[in-house]
Amino acid sequence: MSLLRNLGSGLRSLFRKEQVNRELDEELGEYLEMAAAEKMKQGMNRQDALRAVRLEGGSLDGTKEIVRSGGWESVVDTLWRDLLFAVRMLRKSPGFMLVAMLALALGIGGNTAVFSVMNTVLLRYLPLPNPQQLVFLRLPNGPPDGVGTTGDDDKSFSYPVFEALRKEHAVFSDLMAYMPLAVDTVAVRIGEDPEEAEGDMVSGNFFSGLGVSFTRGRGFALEDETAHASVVVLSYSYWTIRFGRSPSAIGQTIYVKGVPFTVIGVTAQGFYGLEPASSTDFWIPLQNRPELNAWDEEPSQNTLYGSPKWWCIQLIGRFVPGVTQSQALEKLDPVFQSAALVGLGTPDPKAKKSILAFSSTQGIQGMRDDYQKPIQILLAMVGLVLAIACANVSTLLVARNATRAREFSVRIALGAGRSRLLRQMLTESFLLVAGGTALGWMFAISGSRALAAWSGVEIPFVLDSRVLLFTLAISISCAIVFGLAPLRSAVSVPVGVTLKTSNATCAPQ
Amino acid sequence: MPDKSCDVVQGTLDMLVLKTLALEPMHGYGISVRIEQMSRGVFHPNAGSLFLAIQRLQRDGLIDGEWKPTENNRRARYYVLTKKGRQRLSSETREWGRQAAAIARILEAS
Repeated sequence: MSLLRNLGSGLRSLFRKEQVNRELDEELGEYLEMAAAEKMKQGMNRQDALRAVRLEGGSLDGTKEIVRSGGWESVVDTLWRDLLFAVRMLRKSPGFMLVAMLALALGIGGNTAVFSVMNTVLLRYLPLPNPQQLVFLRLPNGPPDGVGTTGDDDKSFSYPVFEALRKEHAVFSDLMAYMPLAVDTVAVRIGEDPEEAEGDMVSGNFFSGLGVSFTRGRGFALEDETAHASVVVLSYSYWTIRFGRSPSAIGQTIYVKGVPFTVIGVTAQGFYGLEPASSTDFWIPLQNRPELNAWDEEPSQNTLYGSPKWWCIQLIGRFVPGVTQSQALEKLDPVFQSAALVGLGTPDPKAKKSILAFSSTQGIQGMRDDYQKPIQILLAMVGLVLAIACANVSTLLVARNATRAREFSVRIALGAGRSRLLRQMLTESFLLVAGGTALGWMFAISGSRALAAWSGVEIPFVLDSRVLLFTLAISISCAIVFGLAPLRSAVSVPVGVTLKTSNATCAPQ
Repeated sequence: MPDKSCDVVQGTLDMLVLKTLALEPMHGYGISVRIEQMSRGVFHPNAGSLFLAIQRLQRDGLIDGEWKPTENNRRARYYVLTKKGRQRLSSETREWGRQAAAIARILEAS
């Protein structure tokens, strides 16, 4: 209540300065009059009375200044005036301003661009609701002995294991299976045009369990999986490339390895599949037709449903809220161990045991391990570049302040406090940094695009709020580092000497 | 009467202003005169601190101000105590009594 009142009164002083000043003038004037009238009653004449009052109580203007500086709004007011003054000073030396801002912009922009890569590859969760609940299932020491795999030893499971684990509803609210139709691309035909595209076969709960939203149409249901329905969901970018975002794509037929599928949905923009380093173009429910075998495997060798010893399914689960990884492992391990033996007969007691583990969905799967070190080194390097930029701007500021010694001396001689000067100059530095940051952010946008194109990663390196926060943090530390450094020399000018030795700036009489 | 009047004891001006206004609504000069009179000339608040205190009290919602004509047909801003101001005055008076008694006890100790 009183805070609101305080705020309101302060804002009134700021924005209706004229009126507030007039009222203060009138009130204080009245005070003066009354005091003088009192003195005149005692026999003084008017002039002497007014003078006596001023002598006793200080000048009217002094009093006004005291009252004005009492509220919080006076701080805002001086800050605003400092800012206007700083803009004027910087505009006086556009060359200096341009060079300083460009140097800072390059440093800040480089850092932001590299951090955006780090953010995408190492830190960002999949763009799905509650991504902390999602975990990839892993086998750190590979599948049991005697089974066939697809090469991805640490993340492939057999169909019996999937069936057993997906029933564990105390742990997983949903367990989703997915696998590619081929290591690379498969043949797809839309109308008359044959082409190659990347497609995954997924369980019926894939989209609902992940929480993927849809631009058009719908995702799969569990019946689509059990019936091996001939329906397909397209990714947003594939829909854009092949159908020009036409709404009539829904209901069209596309042929995957010659088998017709009906388009029923398009995922929302920003979802690139679970391994976004190479985005997935389309998804179909799990199929049992020999020509649509997982991984493009020869059906006479292995099939998804017919070969319990073929470990070819990748799994991602969504934990029931509140379940921790260790609790989950405790519950799942016995189930996993018995399901792992399906098709293997009696296990050799000496054979190695497979261990179940989880891996978070942060960053980009597969890229995190390979690129963690290089990205950190790169970030350290651009950090150094920024430090050099700061040092340069700092030197520029020192040089500039040396030429302003006369200005500072005059202001100190006229009664400006040194802290007031410091504040003024900090405002100038912050203004420089603000300009540099804005410019740097624009650099970063094109820089991160260039990095994405150069690295061949198909998803854009997003500049999200985390990146913005990082940029602001480094900018503010920049402003403090090089803003404070040159100040000492500036405010400790020997006023008298400077004034005497520098040229007079007014024309001789 | 002491030969010199001085500014009020630090930190007590707010309380004194509240007390003055508890008696009757008054303008700035009136408050100043009242404090001087009631202290029998010991305290003479200067205009700067007085109006600063008034501004502070007003922002805390302890007093309200209103422009009114004075007896000699001019205009002055009269201040009145709010309900909150009245409560604050009684709590501060209590607290001050406690502290003053404590200080007196310390100074009288032998």
